[in-house]
Amino acid sequence: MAFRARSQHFTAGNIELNGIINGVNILEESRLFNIDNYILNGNIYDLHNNDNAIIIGIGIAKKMSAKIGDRIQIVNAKGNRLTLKIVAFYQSGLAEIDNIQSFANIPTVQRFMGEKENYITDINLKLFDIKKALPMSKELSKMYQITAIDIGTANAQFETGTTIRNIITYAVSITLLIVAGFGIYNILNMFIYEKMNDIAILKATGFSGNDVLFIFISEALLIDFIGGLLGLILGYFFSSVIDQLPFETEALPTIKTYPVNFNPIYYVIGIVFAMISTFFAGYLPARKAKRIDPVTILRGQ
Amino acid sequence: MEGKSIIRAEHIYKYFHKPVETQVLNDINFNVSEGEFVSIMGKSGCGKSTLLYILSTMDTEYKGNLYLKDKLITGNTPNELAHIRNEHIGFVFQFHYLLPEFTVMENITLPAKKLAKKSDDEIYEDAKNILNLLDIANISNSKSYRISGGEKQRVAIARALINQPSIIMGDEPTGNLDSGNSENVLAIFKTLAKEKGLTLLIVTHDQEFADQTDRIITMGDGKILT
Repeated sequence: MAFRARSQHFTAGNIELNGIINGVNILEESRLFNIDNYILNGNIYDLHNNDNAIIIGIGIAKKMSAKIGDRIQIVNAKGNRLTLKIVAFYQSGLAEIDNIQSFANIPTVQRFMGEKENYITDINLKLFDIKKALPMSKELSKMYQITAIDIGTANAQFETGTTIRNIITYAVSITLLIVAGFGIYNILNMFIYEKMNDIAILKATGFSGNDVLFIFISEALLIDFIGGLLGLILGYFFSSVIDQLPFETEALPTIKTYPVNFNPIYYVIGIVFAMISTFFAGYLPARKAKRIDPVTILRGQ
Repeated sequence: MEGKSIIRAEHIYKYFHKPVETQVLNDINFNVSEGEFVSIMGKSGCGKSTLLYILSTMDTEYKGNLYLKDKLITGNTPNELAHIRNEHIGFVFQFHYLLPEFTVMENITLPAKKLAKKSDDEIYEDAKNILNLLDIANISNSKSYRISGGEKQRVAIARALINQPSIIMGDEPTGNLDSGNSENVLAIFKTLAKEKGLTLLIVTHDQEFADQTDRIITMGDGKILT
């Protein structure tokens, strides 16, 4: 849980700018919301250890040509003034945020606003289970007559983007699996035509249709398993290479290379999907082999 | 010599539906007793191969009753029939139909491994005896695509013998061999019939071959003539 006190403020140097100053417990913000990923040219302890310190948005800093260690004066609507020392910059990568956002300690902002120590405007909660956010927000707003917004609602746009990206990923994956499935289907089909005589003689010497089915399904699954394993190894190799490529973005100042998720669950999903799709690709030709009538083959020549 | 009946056909009728409805077999009745060496002769198209495939249980689309050792096998499920073929019937075809990537030994032991009545060691022992009997022990570890035509046919005979079947069926087993190899195969069959008491039923149109057998069944136009 992290408390915030928010205040409108005017920063003043030679120029005046409108902005927002968030009073935060910076250590909690860091622990729960990884704010330190967006902090440049300084660190959160500089703010934590100094009541007269401020972290300003990189946009504000650029407009005012402010450097670390500079002092800026803040003014609010009531006419209260306060001079704070810049200890770091904040860069979220979104210009509209970086142009107005800044952070100071909660007591500093409370004092600046002329409010008491119990004055709080926002409480941010982080849950262990993100799915509980929506019911919990409803429960909280009902219980305390407050406005509670869950993360899904707050980030609806972002969620939509993620969903669409996931759909695209799965659509491409499934298409590839279908294509690979047809590949295996074709190989086995050709193979069965080639082995027609062998199948006939196996049946003539007492192998049942199910034995033949089993032989070809085993073969499909073997191709399957070896291919799947090779795919996973290659995939892991290429992911590792991509993981080393430089990836510079203003939005994520602490990330220097492409972020790759190496969670084993994706490898498990990959091989399971591959096994299932190719099982069917192998089953159809194998069933054809099962039905081959040895008489037509053995008489044919 | 009137022994036990090995295979008996009663009132077998067979029709082909494609391209036109034709009767191929017309009321076939005959019996093969234990230890008999029987050949079926007839002109091309008289239905002798068709009859053999019915007797072999691979072709199940016929009317009539088929008995193996006095047990009705008409109407059995495909799996039961596969098992019967495995245990009781050995085949030799005009073409050898060996599995080319396998060695001679693997080809011969495959039906026995499927039957799984004996341990692998016993199976290999049996296979060696048969190879010695057929005088091809020297090639037992060669891949079957590397051996000569005559040898292939002897390997095919060995494969037919491995499960000590009740009957050996042959569809023109010498049809694809030169006279030397044909005589060889015939000699093998005669030895098997005389010394091992094996029952053989061979379809052929080789008169010389047929003359050497105990009994000749002559067919014509879907009927048994003699």
